[in-house]
Amino acid sequence: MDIEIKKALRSCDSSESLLLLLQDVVAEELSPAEVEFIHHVIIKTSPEYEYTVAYLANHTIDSLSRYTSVYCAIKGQLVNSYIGGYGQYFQEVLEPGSGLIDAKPDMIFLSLLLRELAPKLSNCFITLTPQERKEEIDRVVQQLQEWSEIAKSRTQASILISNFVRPAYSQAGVADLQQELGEAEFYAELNLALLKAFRDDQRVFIFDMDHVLARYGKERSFNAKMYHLAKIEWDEAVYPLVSAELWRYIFAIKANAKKCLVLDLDNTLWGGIVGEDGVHGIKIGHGDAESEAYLDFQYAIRSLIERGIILAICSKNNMEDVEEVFNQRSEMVLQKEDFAASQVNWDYKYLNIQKIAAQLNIGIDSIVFVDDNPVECSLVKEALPEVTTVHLSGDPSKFTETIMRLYEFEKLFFTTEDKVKLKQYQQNAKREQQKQAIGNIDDYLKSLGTRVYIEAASKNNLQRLHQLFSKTNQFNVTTKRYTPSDIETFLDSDHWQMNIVQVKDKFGDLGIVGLYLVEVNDAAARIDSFVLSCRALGRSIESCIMNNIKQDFLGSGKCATLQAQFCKTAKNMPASTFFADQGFVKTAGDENEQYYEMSSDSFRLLDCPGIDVQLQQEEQL
Amino acid sequence: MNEKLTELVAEIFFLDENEVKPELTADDVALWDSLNHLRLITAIEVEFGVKFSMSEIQSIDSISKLNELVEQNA
Repeated sequence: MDIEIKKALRSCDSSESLLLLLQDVVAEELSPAEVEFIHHVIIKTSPEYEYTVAYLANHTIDSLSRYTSVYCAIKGQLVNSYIGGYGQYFQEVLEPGSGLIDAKPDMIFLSLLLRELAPKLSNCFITLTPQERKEEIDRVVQQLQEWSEIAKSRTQASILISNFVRPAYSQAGVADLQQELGEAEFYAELNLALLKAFRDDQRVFIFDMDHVLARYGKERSFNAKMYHLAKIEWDEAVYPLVSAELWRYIFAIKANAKKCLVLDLDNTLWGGIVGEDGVHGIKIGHGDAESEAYLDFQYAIRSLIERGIILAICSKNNMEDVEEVFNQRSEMVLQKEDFAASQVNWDYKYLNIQKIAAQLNIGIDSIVFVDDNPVECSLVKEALPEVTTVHLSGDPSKFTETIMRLYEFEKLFFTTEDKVKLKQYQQNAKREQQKQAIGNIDDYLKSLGTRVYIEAASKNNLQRLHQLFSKTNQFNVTTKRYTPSDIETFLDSDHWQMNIVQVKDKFGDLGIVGLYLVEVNDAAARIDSFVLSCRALGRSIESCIMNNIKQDFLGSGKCATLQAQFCKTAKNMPASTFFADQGFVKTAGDENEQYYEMSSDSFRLLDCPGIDVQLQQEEQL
Repeated sequence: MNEKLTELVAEIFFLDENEVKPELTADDVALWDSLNHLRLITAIEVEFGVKFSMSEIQSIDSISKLNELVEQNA
């Protein structure tokens, strides 16, 4: 760590300046003493934490909490830790007023070692019969299921359960693989049973410790000396890896994933410069090492499309040359259609990135920019610090790992919306073309043949609901980031009504693009959240949804007043005049927060040209 | 006293470097508990590329003793 940063950290007294200083620290380069030092500094600034992780284990896990707090702080998130009593994972969730319950964790990380949980498995595995081994699997999985049910009912936390790490050596040596339910098979079966037990659970996730430790090396991961001295299982070098993996989950639960990958072309997607080497001179495909490395990189990028990431091109090139590559080089994995936007010209890249963001209607901060040229990278970094800039250096054999290691694309779930996202952006481009061809906005909206489907949300939609709550920034009136467990609570409650909005038009299905959440208290209904994806903006769909809310609560006579609130954020400008536009009357508030009302005797509906509203899915009619 | 060792002790126990003196014992330092003891050992092992035995680790009760062991092993 830089000596100047160290000095500044020592005298640092506010969490804001701490986070600012930590931006320049490289997490991967910290020594154990430096992690400890930064951890002291974090505590000293006594920050207001927004996130709490509770660690429960049957081994000494304190160091992991420190490494994770430091790692997350470097990534800009202050994380508070609660460490449960040694081995008391049941007591911590069962006893009202336990330390864990009081800590109100956002996440619980449960890490259990088999050597404590089922000692005979690690002490005398080889003497057990296959039947006894099988019984141990059932017993362990059942115990974890029971524990997680209690943890879910007593807390609001997302729950991470570590799987079990197969030891570096088997008691039966190489003969283990010939045995029925030998250690190799046993750990595979145990971890598989665990995976299956929680696969459909929306709040419990398996933390693949076996996989994380395999990345580093299992033989090196276990520190027998520290285990015997203080029940510290892992070697010091393991903590940064586990922390980085935990951060992926914390990041994914916050659902801040980047939406778009903007790619350079020359020496990034292929080797060489098409303008100089010619369309047949560039390196892509089979036959030589470099060409194959670029091919591998293109496959990796294509996998991101499946994860719902949109691709765009930002390259200093002649468009004709680029078109020729796509048309003539059949080895290209990525096709022209895979890119939702492209800026191929000689302008500054930061200007082109801004254009791409505008064209796709996404925020600059949801972009990851990748380029091999360090000058381009630093220019973009300077001009657009919100963009995550990734510099691919030198050897193309490293590119794939560089991209696959990024945490910025991590999401908890893939939804059907993710899988068809690219198609939806392509359809949007067609809609835009038609808009320009028609000219008059009303005629254009009518020509789209928009159909809006509004129906009550259900648990089947949970993943998409969570995604909408957490990822929608622009048309989001209160920007409340509800967790999956919050959402389940709303769905189960009689006082809350949550509806989803699906939109289709003649170009295709936009999917579930919006939701609203209303709290009903006898005479008054309060709009708690109103969220509409940017893909559906600019078509009066928001008015159409609001008409439905007005009808439902005021028109029906169910309520006398409809209340609403707008909370300003850095990004929700597009929704700032929404309630006033819809005919609500402002009752109170200041610049940052406004309250609105509409009463049943003065409500009116707005005209929504060309939109056909249906209150149930057509498939269900 | 080894300069690097002074720095590590200061970082782990969150002391100023001029507070780190050979005669300091576990009783003198607020943060010197059993877990921080092992953190300090680990930090030294990583930094100096040495490995202490279990009995050596248990025998350390002051900074001077620590300094002695580092010099023996280094």
